[in-house]
Amino acid sequence: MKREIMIALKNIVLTIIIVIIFASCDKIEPPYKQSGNTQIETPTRKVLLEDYTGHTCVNCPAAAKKALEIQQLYGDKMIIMTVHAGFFALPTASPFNNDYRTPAGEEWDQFFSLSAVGNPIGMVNRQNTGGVYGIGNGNWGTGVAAIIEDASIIKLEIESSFNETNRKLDVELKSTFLEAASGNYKIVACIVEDSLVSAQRNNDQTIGPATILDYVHRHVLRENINGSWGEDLIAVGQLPSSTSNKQYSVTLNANYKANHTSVVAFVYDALTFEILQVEEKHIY
Amino acid sequence: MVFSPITIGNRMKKNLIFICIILAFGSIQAQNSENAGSVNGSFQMDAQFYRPDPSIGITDSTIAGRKIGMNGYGNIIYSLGNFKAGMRYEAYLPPLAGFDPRQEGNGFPYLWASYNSELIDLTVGNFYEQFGNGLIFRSYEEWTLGYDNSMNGLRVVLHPMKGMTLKGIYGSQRFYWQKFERNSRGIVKGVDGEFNLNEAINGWESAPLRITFGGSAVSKFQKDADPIYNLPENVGAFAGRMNLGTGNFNLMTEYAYKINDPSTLNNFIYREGRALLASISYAERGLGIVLQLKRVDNMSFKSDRSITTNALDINFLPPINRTHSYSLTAKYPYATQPNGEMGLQFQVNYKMPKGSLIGGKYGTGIAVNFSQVNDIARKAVNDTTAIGQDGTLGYSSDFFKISDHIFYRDMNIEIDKRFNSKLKGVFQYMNLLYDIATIEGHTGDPAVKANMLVTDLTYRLSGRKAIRAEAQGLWTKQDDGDWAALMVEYTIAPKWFFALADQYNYGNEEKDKRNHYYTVSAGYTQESTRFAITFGRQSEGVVCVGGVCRQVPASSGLTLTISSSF
Repeated sequence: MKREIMIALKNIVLTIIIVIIFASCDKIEPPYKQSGNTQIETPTRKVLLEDYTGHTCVNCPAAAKKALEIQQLYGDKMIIMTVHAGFFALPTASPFNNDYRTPAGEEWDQFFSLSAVGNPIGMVNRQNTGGVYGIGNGNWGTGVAAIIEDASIIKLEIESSFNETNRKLDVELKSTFLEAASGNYKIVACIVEDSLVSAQRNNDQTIGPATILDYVHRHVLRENINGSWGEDLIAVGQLPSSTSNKQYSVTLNANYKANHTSVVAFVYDALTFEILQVEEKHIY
Repeated sequence: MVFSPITIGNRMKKNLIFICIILAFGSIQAQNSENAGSVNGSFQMDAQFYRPDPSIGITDSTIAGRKIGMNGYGNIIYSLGNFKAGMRYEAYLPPLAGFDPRQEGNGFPYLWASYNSELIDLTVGNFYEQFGNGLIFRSYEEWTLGYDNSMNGLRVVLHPMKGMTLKGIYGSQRFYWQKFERNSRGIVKGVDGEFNLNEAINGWESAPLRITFGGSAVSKFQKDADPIYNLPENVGAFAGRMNLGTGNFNLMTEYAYKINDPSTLNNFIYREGRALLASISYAERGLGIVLQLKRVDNMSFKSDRSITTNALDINFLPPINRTHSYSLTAKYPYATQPNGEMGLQFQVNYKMPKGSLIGGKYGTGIAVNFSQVNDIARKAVNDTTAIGQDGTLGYSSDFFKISDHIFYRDMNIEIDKRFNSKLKGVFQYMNLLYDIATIEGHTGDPAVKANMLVTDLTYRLSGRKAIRAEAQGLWTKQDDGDWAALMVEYTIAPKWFFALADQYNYGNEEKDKRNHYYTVSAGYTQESTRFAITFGRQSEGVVCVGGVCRQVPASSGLTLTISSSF
């Protein structure tokens, strides 16, 4: 009897091993990258990828490259905002003496526990899983793909006018609810400057040497217009089609290149912090 | 998703039900004293009170209002015959400086029940397990690192015949407090078999050759929803091992192979992974010799492709370097490089016999240790693809070819000598080469070349009282420059100790960073309960256990530790 049990046990174990060995391997053959056009014809909800970075963060150039690759797939349905915050963004000795940190960026970084976990790290529409907001750059594509086709409950439009003489920038944010609002929402507006050239530490040989003196920093958060957590937009129970207009007037910092500057605005749920809609408008 | 009050309520309810079941077993058994169950456990609380100390870079803004940090746990195990159940409570409110902020929280992350018999061991809930040396699977917990990759699922261990052990595991791994949700991370399953011929075959029990074979297979499933890459959703890894022993010799070897597993850590290359670990040792009275070899090529194996920090590791790549215990010799510890490394370690321990010229009246211990780890040599897969380029096979690598790039080299000698019945000493010299750019991510910084000396003297004052003094020096032109350390400890065994220590970074190139890191500490032990209190500064550094490391920021203040077991 015992022998029969042993034989049965061995057979079961062998079967399990064979099943695991042969059923649990996905050998991928080239091409390793997807070539299909994932462009979505009718954009609904746009996605904000916030890339938390720093100029002495060695793995951040690879993450920035990944963000741009994802954006190439989705075009203007995805917006990148690079936030320099935390230890790796500190200005140090030349050539790392630039300071791209912002009060809002630092506040978000601490609130969402991002750089303390380690850079590079990002947020996709500030969604969280089990209380964790930060996503490693290996999952940015997955995070964006998961929500890029979601329906939006808000339409957000940005109007801006820039006076080159006095550098006065007027911004108008127009939000239209497409269905009844079920929560409290806030709106945040930021100034983002693209293609800032300065030094960056790097660990990816396919991008450049260990210190890239003329690294192009893309989509850098420069300023927050209406406070880190923005302004109330709408209250619970607001009816569909209701609109809200916010107007701001700022003087653009003389160091910002106007032809590289844009306004990024987003609406988020005040309870969960999840971003429901985002837009970007170049000021020039 | 945000934790709603309902979710938290449900979780607490489940924990309470679990506690009630355990207590119910206890109360039933209390009525039946002939077959009573038993309870044992352990407790520890580490609390730190932080204070601003601008001269070492700690200000109110770096403390950010978190003036107290606390890591604590309580572990309770209930045993009744073949049945066991246990739970571990943990609290990080907030975690101590240097621990991952995602640890902040409290609750019962470790709950389990098991049944053990001669034929089968069954575990449900959380468990730790290891296959062989861990090259393709190891789940473990290391309190000092704040590391825990425990499994949550099922484990079966079979003993179908004498000398044979079969294991099966299935579940998900712990990721701080984040509950497993569909596609939130991978699912891990695996089997392992080990066959000890000397136990299995009649008459081989005392054979001169001791032979053990083992093999394992592990698979991880993680959904592919990436818009850029075609990712393997099921990644399999396999390992085979052998242990041969005869007389005073022992040979251990394990080889592991993993199919393509593109991840953030390997920059999404599709190369297969391989690892080899081998060790040959000789031991006789007064003499021990060990030679270890290791080759690792693209063997990071995590249950989430995007994780780059010390979390969700499915496998464990053992370090083959000496683990140093003195504060300055441990200042530059090696962290395993899962993307590729080749290393060896050679160690000889010899006890000079009593009465010999060097051995003296009490004998003298000498330990000589050498270890070196280099990068593996990599070649481009073709003329148009850069080495390590994402979305390609990455590189090719000759198994026996070593790169010139040295990650770590440690040559050290330690002499352990008793001078008389009251005085004994340990003397150590260490020469180190440490690629701080690779190991600690300080890209662009030159490798640290350092020499270190340690003198550790213990003088017994009376039967129970002893005084121990440590003097250490670290000399280097790189990183923070030269250091000196002194420590004096007074012990009244077995209950009390008092210590004064200082580390002085006197050789720092930046004069305002030539700081003293002093501490005053005391401790009291009563049976299995220990209290310790330390006031002072802690320098910035790296703590490693088993090749897994965490950065420790500089801190200043008071540390209180209470630990107990029952």
